[in-house]
Amino acid sequence: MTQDDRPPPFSDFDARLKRLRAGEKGAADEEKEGARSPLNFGSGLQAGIEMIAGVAGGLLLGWALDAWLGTRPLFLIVFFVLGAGAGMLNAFRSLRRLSAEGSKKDPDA
Amino acid sequence: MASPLEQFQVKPYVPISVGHVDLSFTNSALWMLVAVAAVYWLVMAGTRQHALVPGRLQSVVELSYEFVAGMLRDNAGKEGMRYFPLIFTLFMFILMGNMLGMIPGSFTFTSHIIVTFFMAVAVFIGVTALGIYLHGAHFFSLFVPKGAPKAMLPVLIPIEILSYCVRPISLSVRLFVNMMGGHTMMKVFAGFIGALGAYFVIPGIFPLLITVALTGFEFVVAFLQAYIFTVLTCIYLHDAIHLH
Repeated sequence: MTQDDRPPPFSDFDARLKRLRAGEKGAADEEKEGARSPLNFGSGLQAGIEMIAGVAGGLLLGWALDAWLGTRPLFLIVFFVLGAGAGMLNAFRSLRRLSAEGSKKDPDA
Repeated sequence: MASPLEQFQVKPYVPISVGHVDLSFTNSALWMLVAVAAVYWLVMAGTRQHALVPGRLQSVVELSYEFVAGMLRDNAGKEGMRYFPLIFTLFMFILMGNMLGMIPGSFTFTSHIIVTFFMAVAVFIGVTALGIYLHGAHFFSLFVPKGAPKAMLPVLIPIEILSYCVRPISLSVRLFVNMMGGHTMMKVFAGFIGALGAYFVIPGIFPLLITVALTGFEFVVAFLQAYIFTVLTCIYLHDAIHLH
């Protein structure tokens, strides 16, 4: 190859970039083949926080309603159960999103 | 020896009180200003040159832009790009706050629940208002799960509403717990170095090694938590724009 100090022309820049990007993505996908589960310790912590937030939010709302309406402990019990349900729903959604995100592709890798 | 929780103390620098409301300029407020100034300087200095082949600073700014833009496009769709300025500001502010907190002697404002909770509530109200603005009353169909039997709806709808309403709690608690927990742990192990090393020099090395590892780990957490906060904001934005 001859020594040439001029930068390569820009006319085929898009094509070259596309080719490079495709190669990069292919390599990343192959690497992903042997990857472990996308869920890790952090996702467990996240799910835990979702559940606690659900229960705590429900309890807080129930307690406030009771204090306001003087119906202790009716709403406390109702919203504790609903809050637990909401927490589980949020935890489930968060875990589903994390596992889907991990298995689909790595956005920034 | 200093308590490991001393780092979280809010100290007023300039006491200001309006009526009975304490509006003092504290170390927390100071570091928020520093974070804003640092982000402003970074972006302004990084975009000054418009070089085709970016220098170091410009690379940082371009990377942050592409990172946040990609995150927003992946999670909120093309329509979400209209809200890019907000998401970018949010990400850079939290990231800079977390990173500045890693400077010894500085103050980590994201380790206070009131700060993160305010940000989460602001996001929550903004996203809900946007959803109602875009879809009107149709927005509330977000709370009706698809394909559920009619008989279950009286139970499912309250659960859905509640799970929507506790979002700011989980969003803020996640950021605050990670920042406060990590910083406390670092201080505790750093305290062991002095306590142990004063009597036996050799065993004192082990807490030092752990502190070194924790410091690296904290940088990861600082970035990751800023990322998670922003990504969840994008997802909430997606819900408001597309209603599932």
